[in-house]
Amino acid sequence: MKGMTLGRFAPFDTFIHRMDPRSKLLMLVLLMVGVFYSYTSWTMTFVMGGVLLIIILILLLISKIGLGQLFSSLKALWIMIIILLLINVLVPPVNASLVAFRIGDYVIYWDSIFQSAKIIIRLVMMIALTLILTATTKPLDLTYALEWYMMPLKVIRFPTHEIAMTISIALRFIPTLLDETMRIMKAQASRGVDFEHGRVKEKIKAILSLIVPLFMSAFQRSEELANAMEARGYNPRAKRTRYRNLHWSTRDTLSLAFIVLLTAGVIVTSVLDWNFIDMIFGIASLGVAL
Amino acid sequence: MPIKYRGVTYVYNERTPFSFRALNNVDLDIVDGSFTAIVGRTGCGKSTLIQQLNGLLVPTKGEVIVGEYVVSHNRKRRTKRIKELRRLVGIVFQFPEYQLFEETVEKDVAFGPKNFGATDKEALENAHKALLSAGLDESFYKRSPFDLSGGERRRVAIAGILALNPSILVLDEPTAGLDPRGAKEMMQLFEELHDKGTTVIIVTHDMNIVLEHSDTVVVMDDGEIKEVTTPTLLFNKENDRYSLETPLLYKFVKALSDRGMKLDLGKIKDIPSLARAIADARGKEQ
Repeated sequence: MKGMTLGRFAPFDTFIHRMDPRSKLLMLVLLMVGVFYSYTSWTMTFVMGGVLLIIILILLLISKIGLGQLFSSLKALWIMIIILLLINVLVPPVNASLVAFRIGDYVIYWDSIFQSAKIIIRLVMMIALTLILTATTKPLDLTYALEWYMMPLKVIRFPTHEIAMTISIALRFIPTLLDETMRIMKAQASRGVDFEHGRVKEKIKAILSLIVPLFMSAFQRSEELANAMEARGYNPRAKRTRYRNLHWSTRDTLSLAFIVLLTAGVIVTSVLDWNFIDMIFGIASLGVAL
Repeated sequence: MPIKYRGVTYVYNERTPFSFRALNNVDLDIVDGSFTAIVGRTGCGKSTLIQQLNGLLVPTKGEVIVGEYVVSHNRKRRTKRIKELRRLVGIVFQFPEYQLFEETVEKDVAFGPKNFGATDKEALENAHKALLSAGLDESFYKRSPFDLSGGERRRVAIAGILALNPSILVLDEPTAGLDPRGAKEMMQLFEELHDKGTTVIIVTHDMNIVLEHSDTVVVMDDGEIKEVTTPTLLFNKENDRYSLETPLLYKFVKALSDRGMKLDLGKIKDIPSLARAIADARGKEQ
C-alpha cells in the first residue's frame, strides 16, 4: 500500500512549492517538449539527455522529494525496460550501423541498445517531472490553474467551470477512497480473505469482495455530495468568487524565463542539428595540432 | 485466550512527512473471558490498538501475544499462522455494513467460514446459526444484503464474523448509528456470547454501555493507556480529564446523594441494582 502515496502532495515550503501552479504547469509542458526532441547523433542525444536529467534531478532535490520516491516509482519500469530491449534487439532501427556483438549469426547493434536507453531516460524524466508537479502543488490549485488555462474556451461556450469542478471533486476523493479501500481490505482480511496469495479463482473472489463494497460506497458518497451541493444552491453557471486566489510573482516570471530559454536552447540545438560536442572536440584537436 | 501487549508502539507512515505516532509504548493485559471496554476520545489510538490483535497492523516496536500467537515487530518471533489467528480473533469494524458484497445474505455470511476452509455445507450451517443468533430469521437467507435496512445490514455483517466462531470478539463501536432499541438488542447479543465464554472487547463512546456490560475498562489518551479499572471505580471519580461522559444512571445516583441519600456506588450497574440500592437505603431510614 505504501506505493500508493506516490506523487502525493508533500506539505513542505520550498521555492517550488511557493510557485504559482499556472507557471509550474506551463514549465512542465515546456520541459516535456524539451525532453522529447531528438538529435541525429547518439553523442548529442545522451549529452542533451544528461543535461536535462541533471536539471530535473536538481529540481527534485529543491522540492525535497528525495530520490527514494523516484526510484520506487521506477521499480515498476523493470519489465518495460526488458521488453523495450527485446523489441529493439529483435527489430533493429532502420539505419543501424554500429555492431555491438554477434550471437552466432545474429547481429546485435549498439543502436538497439542506445535506442532503448534513450526511451528509458525520457520515461524517467517524464515521471520525475510529473512527480515534482504533483508533490509540490495542491491538487485543488492544479485544477484552478487548468481552469485558468481553459478560460479562452469560454468564448465558444465550453463548460470550463464544470470540467474544473469535476476534476477537483475527483481529486478530492482519491485519498478518501484510498482510506475506504484500506478499511474494506482490513474488514475482509478479518473474514479470512488473502489479497496476496491464493489461486486465480480465490484472487478474483478477493478482489470482488473489495470492489463491490467500494463501488457501493463511492456511489453513495457521490449522491450525498450532490445533495449537499444542491442544498447549498450550487449553480454551475453562476458567477463565483474564490477563497484562494492564484498569485503570480517575480519568482514565477524568472523561473519561467529560465525554462523558456532552456527549452528554446534544446529546440535550436535539435533543429539546427548543432553538434557542439564535436565542435568542442574539433577546436581542442585543432589546438593540439597547432 | 489471554491477550498481552508488551511495549507496543505504532507509527503510521513512518519516515514520511505524514508520520504519526498512534500508540506509544503500550503495556496491557486482557484476561481470558472478560468483557473489556476501551474508551477515550476520538483519535487516541483505540482502533489502532485493536487492529494489532489479528495482525492487520504489526507493531512498529514491541509485540502483542494472543494465546500462543505472537504479532511482533521482530519477523522471527512473528507467528506464521496469521490466518488461524484471524479466525480466533473476530474483528467487527466500525460501520461493518459496508463490507457486504454477495448476492444473498446467507452467501455473504458463509463467505468467512469458506475462506477458512470450511466446506460449503458447513459454511452454510455456520451462517444460519450466526444469522439466527444475530436476530435474523430464515426469511432473510435469500434476500440481497443491499435491499435491507441499515440496522439489518449491520446484523448481517456482524453475523459474518460470528459465523467464524471466534474465541475473542472485538467490536469497534458496534452501536454507532443504531436506534436505541436496536443498540440494546445488539448489546444483549454480545452479552449472551460473553456468557458462553467468548472474550469480548468493545470500543465505544457510550458510557451507559460501558457501565452496564463491561467488567474492565481501559482508558486511553494520546496513544497511551491511562487507566485499567472497573466501570464502577472509573465513574466514581471525576473524569473531565479524558472527556468521558458520566453514565445517566450515575448522574441520577450522584443527584440523589447530593440530596442526602447514601448509596453504595460500587454495586450499581443497571436499573434493577439501582432500585435495590434505593430500596435498601429507604429501608434503613425507616
